[in-house]
Amino acid sequence: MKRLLVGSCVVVAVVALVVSVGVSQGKVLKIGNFCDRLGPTQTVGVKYCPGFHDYMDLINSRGGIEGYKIEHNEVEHGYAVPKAVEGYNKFKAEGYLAVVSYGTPITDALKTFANRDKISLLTPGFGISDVEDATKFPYVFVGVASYKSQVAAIYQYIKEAWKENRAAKIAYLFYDNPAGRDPLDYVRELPKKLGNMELVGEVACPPPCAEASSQMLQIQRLNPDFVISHLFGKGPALTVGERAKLGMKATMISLVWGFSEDEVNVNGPAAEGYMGVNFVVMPEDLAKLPVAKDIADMYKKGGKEPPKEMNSIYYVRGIMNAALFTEAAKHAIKAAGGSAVTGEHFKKGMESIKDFTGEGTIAPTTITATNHAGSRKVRLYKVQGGKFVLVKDWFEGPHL
Amino acid sequence: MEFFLQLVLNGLMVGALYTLIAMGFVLIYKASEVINFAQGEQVMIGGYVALMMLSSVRLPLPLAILVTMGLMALLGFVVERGILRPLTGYPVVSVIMATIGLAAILRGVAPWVWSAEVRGFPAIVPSTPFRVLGVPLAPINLASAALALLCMGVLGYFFQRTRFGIAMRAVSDDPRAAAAMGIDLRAILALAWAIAGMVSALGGVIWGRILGVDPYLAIVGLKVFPVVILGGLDSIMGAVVGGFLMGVLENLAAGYIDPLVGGGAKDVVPFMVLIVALMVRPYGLFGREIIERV
Amino acid sequence: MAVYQLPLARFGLVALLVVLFGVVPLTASDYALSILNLVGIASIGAIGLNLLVGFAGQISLGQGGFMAIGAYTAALFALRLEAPFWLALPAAGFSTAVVGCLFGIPSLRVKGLYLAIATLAAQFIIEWNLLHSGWLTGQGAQGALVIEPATLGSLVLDTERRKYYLIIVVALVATVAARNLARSYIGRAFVAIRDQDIAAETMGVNIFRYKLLAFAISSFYAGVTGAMWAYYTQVVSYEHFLINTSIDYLAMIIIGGLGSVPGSILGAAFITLMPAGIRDALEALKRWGMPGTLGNFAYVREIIFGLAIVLFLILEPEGLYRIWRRIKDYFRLWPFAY
Repeated sequence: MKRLLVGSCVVVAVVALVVSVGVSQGKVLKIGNFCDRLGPTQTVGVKYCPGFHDYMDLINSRGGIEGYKIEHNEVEHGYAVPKAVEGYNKFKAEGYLAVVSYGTPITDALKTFANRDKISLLTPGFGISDVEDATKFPYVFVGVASYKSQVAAIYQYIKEAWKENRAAKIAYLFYDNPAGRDPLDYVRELPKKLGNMELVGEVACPPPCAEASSQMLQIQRLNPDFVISHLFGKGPALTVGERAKLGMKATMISLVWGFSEDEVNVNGPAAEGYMGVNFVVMPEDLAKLPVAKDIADMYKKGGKEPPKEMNSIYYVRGIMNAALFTEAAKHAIKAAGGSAVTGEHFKKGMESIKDFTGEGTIAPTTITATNHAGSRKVRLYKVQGGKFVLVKDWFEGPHL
Repeated sequence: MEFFLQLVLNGLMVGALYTLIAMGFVLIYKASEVINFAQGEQVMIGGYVALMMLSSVRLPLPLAILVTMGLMALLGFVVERGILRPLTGYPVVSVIMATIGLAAILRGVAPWVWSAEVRGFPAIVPSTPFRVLGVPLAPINLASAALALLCMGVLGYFFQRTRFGIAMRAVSDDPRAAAAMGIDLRAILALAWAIAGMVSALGGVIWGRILGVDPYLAIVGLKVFPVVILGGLDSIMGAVVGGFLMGVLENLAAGYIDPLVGGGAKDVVPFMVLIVALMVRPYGLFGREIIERV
Repeated sequence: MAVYQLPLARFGLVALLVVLFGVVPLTASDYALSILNLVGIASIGAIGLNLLVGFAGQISLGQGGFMAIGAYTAALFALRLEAPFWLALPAAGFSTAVVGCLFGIPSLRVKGLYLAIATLAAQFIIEWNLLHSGWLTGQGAQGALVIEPATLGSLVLDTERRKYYLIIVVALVATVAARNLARSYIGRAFVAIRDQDIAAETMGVNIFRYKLLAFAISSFYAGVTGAMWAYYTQVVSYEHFLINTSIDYLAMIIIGGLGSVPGSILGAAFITLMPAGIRDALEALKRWGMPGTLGNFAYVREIIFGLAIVLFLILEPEGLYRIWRRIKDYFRLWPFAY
C-alpha cells in the first residue's frame, strides 16, 4: 500500500512537470477564459463557460477571424486566488492576448498583472466599477453595464414607474462583500439626485448568505416600496422565497447575478413579480437569433444535440464575452496590419469596438481609449407566469 | 416589540433547522470524539439523494425519505470504516483533517454526479404560510421544528433506554472500560456514523426544500460550530437548545446590531459568542464538565 | 551535534544555493518562475503553521485570517507611511503575532478540538473586521488596496524574475530560522508540550508561555506570508485569504509531513502544483483523443485534493518528507537494500 502511495506521488510529480505546449498551426489568436465550476458561484460557471467555448468554436467553424483561428481554453479556479494566479501565468506563458476574468477577488488580484503583461482582461459584471476609468487600469475592460450602471438603471426605472406624490421608499439588500458593496455610492447618492425617492435602509446578507429570513424581516420593517437586491449564490433564491412568505408588497428588483432561471426553478409560483435587470438578452430571445441556430447546427453536424445549457441566462453571458473578444480580435488584426498581433494591438482592438451588438445579444456597445465601461444599458424583466417578461427595453440610468 | 417577537419567532424557526444539522454532529462526537467537518456536505448529499429518489426514481415521499436515510446510513458506515477507523488513536489534527478531506471529496463528487445547477425540491408540506402574532410561519419550518424535536425524543429514548444507546454512552465515557465489559467498540462507532447519516438525510430533505438542492447546501454546515459549542459538544439536548438559542441570537443580532455596524452581525456574532463561550464555559450549556485544560 | 554531519551535506548546501540563485533564475521560464514564486510564498506560511501544528501540537484553522492581517499591515505601511518593504515585512509579522496571541489565549484554557473551533471563529471574525473597517483600510466600500511593487534602491521588483529573488530570500530565511528554532530550547519545549504536556510541565516547561509563543511565531510567519502575497500581487483584499486558504495550508503540512520543516516546503509545492498537474494531464488526455473533458477538471481536482489528504493520513502520516527520506535511504544503501 505504501508503495502504491509512493508510486502515485511520483506519477503526480511527473504529470506536474508536463508542460503543455500549444500546437501552433497557421495563424492563431489565443483568448482565455476563467471559469469556476466549483466554489461559491459554481451554479453560474457550469452554464457560463460552455457559452464562451461554443461561440469560439462557432467562430472557428465559420472560418475564424480574418484568417486567424481562435485558440480558446479555460482555467478553472474554484474562486480561489492562488489557483487563478497560477492559471493567469499559464495563459501568459502560452501567449494569450486576452482573458475573461471571473469573480471580484480574482479580478482584484489580476488587475495589476494585466497592466504589466499587456493582457486585456474583460470583467463584465465581475467587479470593480473603478476599472471603468481607463486611466487607472488601461488593460481592464468592463464592456457591459457595471454594478453601478445597473443600480443607476434601476433607479431610473423607479423614477419613471413611481406615480405617487410622496417619495418612493427604497431599501438596498446586498451581499456583504466587496462586490456587494461596490455600487454603494450610487445607491446612496442617486436618490438625492433623481428626487422623489429616498433610501430608507441598507440590509446586508453576510456571505455565504445561506439563510436570509431575518434580513427580510428587517426589510419588511423598513416598509419600502422597492427593494434593490444585489446578492449572489443562494441569496437571491432565498430572499425571493422569503418575500413571498412574508407577503411583502414591495417590488423587488435584482442586479444581474441574482436574476436567473435558478430563482424561478427553486421558488415556482413564489417568484411571481420578481424583477431584475440583465445586460444580455434572455435565452428565449437568444433562441430566435441566428447565432443560436448556428450553434445548434454546429452541434448537429458533429452528431450531437445542442447543449441544454442554452436555456440559461448565464450561457448567453458566456456568448457575450466571447463575442466582445472576437470583435476586438477583428480590430486588433487590422491594427497589427499583417505583423504578429500583440497585447497592445488587442487593447487597441478592444478600444475600437463601436456599436457592437454581439450578434444581437447585447445593447450596442462602444469602447474607447478613455472609457472602458462600454454600454451602460440594461433590459428590465419581470417574472410572470413562470416566464421572463420584458418590462423595459435597453435603457440606462444617470451618472452620479 | 412586534419586531422583537418577529425576530424571536423567526429565530426559533431557523434554529430548528440548525438543530437538525447539529444533532448529527453531536452524535458522532459523542461516540468517537471526532469533530466532523463534513457534516454540511453530508446534508448536501442527503438533499441530492432525496431529490433523486423523488424525481428520478419517483418514489412516494415517505418511502423516498426512508430510502434516503438508509443510503445515508450506508454512507456514514462506509466513511467510518474507510476513513475514521484506520485513524483511531491518531492526534486530533489528523482526524479533523480527515473529515476536511472527506468534505472535499463529497464536494467534488456531488456536482459531478448530479450536476451543479440549482434544482427545486418538490413541496413536501403545503407552502402557504399562516400567521402567528403577525409573523408568517411556513409549514416547512414548523415541520422541521417538529422533526427536530421528534429526533431529539427518539435519540433521547435511544440513549436512555436501548441497549445500543447505553452502550454508546458507555463508549463515550470510557472506551476501555466499555470494551472490557464486552461492548464492541467498532460496531458502536459504525452505528454512530450510520445514525448521524440518517439525521443528515432528514436535514438534507428539509434544507433542500427550503434552499433548493445544489452544492451550496453544504455551507449550512459551518453554522454547526457555534451551535454545538454553545449547547455542549456531547449533548443531544445541547444541540437542540443550542440550535434554537443560536437561531434567536442570530436574528436579534441581525435586527438590532446590523443597523449599527453596517451589516454582517448575523454571521459574526455567533462566532464571537463561541469565543466567549470557550473562555467561560467550554463544555457548553449541557455538556459534561470534563475538559482537559492544559 | 553539528548541523551538517557530512562534508557532502555542506557541499550539497552550497550546490543548492547556487541552483536557487544562479541556475534557476537564469534558465527557468517566466511560468516556471511564477510557480516557484507561488510555492515560495506558500512555503513560508506552511512552515509557520507546521511550527504550531506539527511541533507544538496546537491546531489552527485561522491561518488565512492571520495572513490577511499581515497583508493589510504591509499595505497600510506601504501606503500610509510609505515604508519600504523591508520595514513593512517585519511589521506585518509583528502585528499578526499580536493578533495571533489574542486568539491564542483560548489555547491556554482548552485544547485540541476546542482550539480548532476557536481558530475557525478567529478566521470569520477577522474577515468581518477587515471588511467593516473602512476607517482603517480607507478604501470605502471595496476594502481592496493597491500597492506599488517592492523596490530595492532603484530596482523595482515587478517582474516574476525579480520577485523570485525577493521571495526566495525570505523563504530561505524563514526555513533556516524555523530549523534552528526547532533545534533550540523553544523547539524542544514545543515538542514536549505536543507529546506529553503534563510531563513537559513537570520538566519545567512553562506550558502557557510556550503555547502562546507557538501561536505568536506561527502568526508571525502567517503575517509575513500575507505581506509577501501582497507584494506579489500588489493587491490586498481579505477575499484572498478566506477559510479555504486555511484549509489549503493545513493540507500542505499534512501532506508534506507534520513536524518537518522541509516537509512543509514539499507540501506547499504539492498543493500548489497539483491543480496545474491535473489540468495538464487532462489536457494531454484530450489531445490524445481520450475522454476527459476540461469541464470535469474541477471535480477531479477537488476529489484528488480530498483523497490526497485522507490517503496521506492513513498510509503515510509522516508525509512526503518521509517518502523523500525513504527514497534517499534506498539510494544510500543501494545495492545493499535489505
